[in-house]
Amino acid sequence: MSGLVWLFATVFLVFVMLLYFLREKDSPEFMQSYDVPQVLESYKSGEIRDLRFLPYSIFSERDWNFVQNEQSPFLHRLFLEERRAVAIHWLKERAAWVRAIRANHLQRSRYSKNLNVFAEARLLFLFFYLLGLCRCLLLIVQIANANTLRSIALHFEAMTQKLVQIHLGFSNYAPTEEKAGFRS
Amino acid sequence: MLTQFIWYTGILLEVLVLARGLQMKWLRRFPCFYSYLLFVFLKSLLLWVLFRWIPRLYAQAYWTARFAAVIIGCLVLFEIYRVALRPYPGTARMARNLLGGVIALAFAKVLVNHSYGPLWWPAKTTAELERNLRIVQAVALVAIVALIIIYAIPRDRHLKGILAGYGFYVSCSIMQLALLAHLGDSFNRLWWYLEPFSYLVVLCIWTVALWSHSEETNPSAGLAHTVMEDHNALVERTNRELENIRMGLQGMVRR
Repeated sequence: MSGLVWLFATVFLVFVMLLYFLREKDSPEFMQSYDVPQVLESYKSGEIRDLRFLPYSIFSERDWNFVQNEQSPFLHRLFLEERRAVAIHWLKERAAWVRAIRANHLQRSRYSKNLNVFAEARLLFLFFYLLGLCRCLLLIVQIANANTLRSIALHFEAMTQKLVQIHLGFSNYAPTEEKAGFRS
Repeated sequence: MLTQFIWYTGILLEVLVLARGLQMKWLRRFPCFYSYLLFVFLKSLLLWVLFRWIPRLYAQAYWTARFAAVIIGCLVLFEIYRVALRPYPGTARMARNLLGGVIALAFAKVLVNHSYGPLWWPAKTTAELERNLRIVQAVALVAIVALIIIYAIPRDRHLKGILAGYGFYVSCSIMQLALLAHLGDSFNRLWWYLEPFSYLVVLCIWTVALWSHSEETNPSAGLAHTVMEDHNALVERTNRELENIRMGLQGMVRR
């Protein structure tokens, strides 16, 4: 009986894939979205460096402690609402960047004649992982609030770091102060 | 009466698709697919002759022809891979590795089964053997479709139709053969109608998809320069881009 369930699961997977395959648009607009996206342009222009302070501010506990000390319910509510909105916007933006980088990479790698299958598979995994991470964080921010994210995000961060160290050796690219910060 | 209607309609649709392919010279683009269709058409005629005049040979011929159809069906899958991924060597390489993995898994399963019994194939009947081969086809199909979706490979109407039709047929076959093996004779009578009906649905999909002309999708000329790009350099650059975003995500927990 369990064999039958597995078979039906396989068939269900085929149906879902075929439906997705048929529904996915193959219009000129769809292809154009794979040209170098605008978000990447802003990223390449160095804007990302200026925006890097955002996650520190959005998810930091300093402001939250300050608001709590004020003991104003209105300020408390306003702070949480605004913080949530900013966090959601920031996470959506990050997800858009990951998607843009993925699209840009896949567009080029599909033509690559010397494609390294393992490197490509690792990158595909990382794309899905980061997008999943963004979605999880979005869900958490929407259900709870940006301030309760810290402990959960620590777990994700540890997993990301582990993945990166094992598979990609990203630590070579990270600035020294970032590595030091992680160790502390 | 219903069986005869399904049978005659099926033959008619097969002739229509073959004639249209011949008329529009689409046989050159999909030689394996049209060979498969021709084989099924001739098989149907031969089985009809046997059923009518030499019924004692029918059962044996039926299962032999079905098995041959499964083998030729693998060529259809290969053709989907070839036509869809020909202009994209990178994705084609990924697909080759993925399909190689699927075949290796299937062989591993055969070897494991061999250690438990005298048969080298993991099936007691022809129906079970066909079901197992269809499962391998289904997994290969999922792998190809996943790569086409992930790499946003352009697909035209014909390719979509052939893939959707064949995928539907493989899925239906797996379900029906699994139920046949599980329920036995009680399902046999229903299967007698279900099997030709599902193939008729597939023929309808193919007739609609392969009736009108479809623009062949070619890679954009503007992207031609990327063909020569070194993949290692590309991976390194993407890693660096992702690293920036990852650090941003990590940033939320640093303070």
